Amino acid sequence: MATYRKPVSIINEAGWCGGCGHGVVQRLITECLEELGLQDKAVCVVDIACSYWSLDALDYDAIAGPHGRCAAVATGIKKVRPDSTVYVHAGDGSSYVIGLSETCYTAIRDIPITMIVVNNGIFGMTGGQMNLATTLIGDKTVSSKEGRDADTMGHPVDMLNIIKNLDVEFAARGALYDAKHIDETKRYIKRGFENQMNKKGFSIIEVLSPCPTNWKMTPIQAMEKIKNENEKMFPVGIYTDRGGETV
Amino acid sequence: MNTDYVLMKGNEAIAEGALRAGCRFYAGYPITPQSEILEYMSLNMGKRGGTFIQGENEISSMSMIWGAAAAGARCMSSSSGPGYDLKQEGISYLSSYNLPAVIVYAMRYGLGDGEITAGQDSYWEAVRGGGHGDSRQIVLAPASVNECASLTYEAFDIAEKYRNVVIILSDGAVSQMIEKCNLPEPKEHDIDEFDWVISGKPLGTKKNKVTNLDRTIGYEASDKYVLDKYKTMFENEQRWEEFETDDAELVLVAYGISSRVCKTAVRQARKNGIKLGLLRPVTVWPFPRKAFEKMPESVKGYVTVEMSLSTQMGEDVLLAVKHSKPLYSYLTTYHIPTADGIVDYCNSVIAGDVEPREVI
Amino acid sequence: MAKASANTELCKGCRLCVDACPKQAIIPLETVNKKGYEIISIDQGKCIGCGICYKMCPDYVFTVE
Repeated sequence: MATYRKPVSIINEAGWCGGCGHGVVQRLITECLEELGLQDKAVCVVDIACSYWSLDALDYDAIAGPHGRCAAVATGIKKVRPDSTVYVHAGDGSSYVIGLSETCYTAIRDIPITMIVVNNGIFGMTGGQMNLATTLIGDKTVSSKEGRDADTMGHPVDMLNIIKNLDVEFAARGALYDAKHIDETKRYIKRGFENQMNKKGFSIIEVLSPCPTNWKMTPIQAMEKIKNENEKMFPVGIYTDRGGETV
Repeated sequence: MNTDYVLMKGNEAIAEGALRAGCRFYAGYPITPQSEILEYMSLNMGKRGGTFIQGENEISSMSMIWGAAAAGARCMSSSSGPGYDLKQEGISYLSSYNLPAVIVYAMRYGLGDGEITAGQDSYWEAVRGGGHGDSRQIVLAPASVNECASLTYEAFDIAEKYRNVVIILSDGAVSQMIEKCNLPEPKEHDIDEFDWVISGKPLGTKKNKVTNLDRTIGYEASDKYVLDKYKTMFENEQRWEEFETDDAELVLVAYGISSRVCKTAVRQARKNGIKLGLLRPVTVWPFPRKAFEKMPESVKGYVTVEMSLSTQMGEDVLLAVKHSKPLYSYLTTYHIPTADGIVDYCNSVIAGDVEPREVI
Repeated sequence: MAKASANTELCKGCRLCVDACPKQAIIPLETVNKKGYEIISIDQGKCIGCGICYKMCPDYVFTVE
């Protein structure tokens, strides 16, 4: 019979809002590291936004990147410490908007890190502004109060469709709206860490995650929105996998 | 002491000085007049077992430095003008956790794109510009190719001694000139030497959280640590060179390329009976105030010789002498000053034809 | 058989577990914890130890063993 217990790597509480997906992502990361025996050489790179909570929550050496620069920071660490397991836990504003260049060039250089991007379609920490890459057309935010309008704000973009063409090791998207998808997301994250353990290239795992506070919904409604709306724009699955299947 | 002299460009000497100091991580972006540093690193860093990365921009390069420095490597980046503007985000971050790193600023002249030729009008940016927040960087200003190597070599030790960013403030002339150079002995750096590094450590052992130091040890402890450190750096690291100052009536104050011309000007003036001297700051932060305290009674005023429009270093001279002596400035902006020009200007000062410089 | 237990001091009252439990074994309460969040209780009679609550919970409230 399976048993489930909080990973021992998690040593402090994080200040995420009720129903936020970051906590699940943090759990999946730490479970994967512990299951692979990598917890004793993990280096955590967080962004100065909601993922920042993970800096103190984990029993890992950790560093906060300047906003958007996590992939570059991780590059510096991994080059100096190739035997450490270096991962990024950052948001979609960091990874796809202000830090698009850093994310893409880290992918192009095929730096063997594991990058986990939380796609919650919004700038959470700063109070819920529109995310140019991931806020859906029509979604209301504090900086798109009447709903995102493609004529003035452009369309959201599926970054994994871009990154998969940069010849990376692994790119996949998971979701957190039910246990089945959480399990699938965990398999992707684990693959990302296995790739790093096996000295392969750049792995990126994006996770469709709720931000009930800034979406102004209950956590259950937020999960429904991911399932019914966000996943349509951002399909889950493996986008590229040098070592195996591609969907 | 290694006595083998080699002929090198200033930029190459900076790069080789860094490599010999055990610098094993370089990230940067091309910009004139410092690109030879990046080019030299691209060829030689791998041979020394280090990492060279040509960044997608300066901001990203500095973020790589932030990661590499936190991981314990001796690391360096370099830039100029508009590129250096972008480095300031990274300098602020390095300062926030008190990480050592060496950043080279080869000054070019002008605002915006400016000119790719030598300038000294980014003094304020190098000396005062550590990005947002309270921070100080030790700024070393080489005036020869030999110093490009020796000061860069030493900069890594200073950076680690204080856990602080050290800037090598060169200019388009010093960086581009070719001279004989005495290279220092190569050495290696242990990335596990310091206990503040991130490396990936077993569960249950002490971990480092690389972010603002005040978040790690508390605001008060952090404020005290930082302020004490800046005071100690200010007290201990003032460096300068004096030339013919013992009986000087007028003292030129100049660094980098301008200081070289000033030496010629002093010799020329003294042949004509004008008692000119030179005070060359080697550190422009901390500015060598102690040197001014020791100046002889004979000194009637100071003349800064700067390739800037706004008497940038003059401000620091006035602070150093507490406005007790008049300040004059021979400013050449985009031209390297000439010895004749400096001597003529000093003659005018002595004749009373020049008003002291107002610093605005 | 494994059963879920809850450290409700960690709970932030999101109710994702209540919605996800296939056996409706998690009961939302109006009782608040020290943080001020409304917590839950587990009906051990209904719990089948499937772990879905553990997986959904962002705040590591549940242990299943």
